[in-house]
Amino acid sequence: MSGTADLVWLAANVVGAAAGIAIGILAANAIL
Amino acid sequence: MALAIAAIGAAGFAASLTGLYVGMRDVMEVGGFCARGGPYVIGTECTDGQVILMVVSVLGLLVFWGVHAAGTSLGGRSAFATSLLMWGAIFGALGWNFLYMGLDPPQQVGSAWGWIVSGVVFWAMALAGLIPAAAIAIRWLRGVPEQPAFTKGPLVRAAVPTAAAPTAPDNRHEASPTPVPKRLVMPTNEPRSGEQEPEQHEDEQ
Repeated sequence: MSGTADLVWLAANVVGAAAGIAIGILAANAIL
Repeated sequence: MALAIAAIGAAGFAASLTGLYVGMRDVMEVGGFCARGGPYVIGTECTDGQVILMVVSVLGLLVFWGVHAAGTSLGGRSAFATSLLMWGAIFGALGWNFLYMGLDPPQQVGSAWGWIVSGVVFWAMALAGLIPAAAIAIRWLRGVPEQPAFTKGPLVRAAVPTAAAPTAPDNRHEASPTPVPKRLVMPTNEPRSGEQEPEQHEDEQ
């Protein structure tokens, strides 16, 4: 795997995880 | 496609872990225990939100962990390293909850030593995943090629000689104490030598 492809892969996962944390906080506060 | 699946898995996993973290903190703030239903008197009744949040979060963790591993594998990358990170994230986050609430427990909790011990154990389990994950990350940063977790070749290989090896003479028959029969001799009904036919007595007639 090339370095650029690895970085794109890493960035997508980090952005996804950050979006997930934000969604989780909003959803948990709405449910509780 | 694989990248999108992995990103969705990462987002769902993070959302589930956040929900579990917030739900756990919510339960710990009312004493660390709640219940619903059953024949016994319940000191602290669980709310609908607590039940829904905890159940959905735990199931979501498992499902999105699998989704992320599938996307990562489809992309030709090892899901092992990211699974180690996820393991560390779960036990690190929940262990932080135990330690934070154990060191500053709510009023109704008398002794929070159990939470502190749980937090230390959870962080030890998190390190068990994060240390090998860090080793893999360091190798990746140095450009060392990733070694496959499982070999695709045969586990047991035959030692085939390249040149004709001398073979030992087959003298097993010579060493045998009794000669091996050439053919099977079928038994007959005729009496062998030395045996006599059973005598018929005349009295029987």
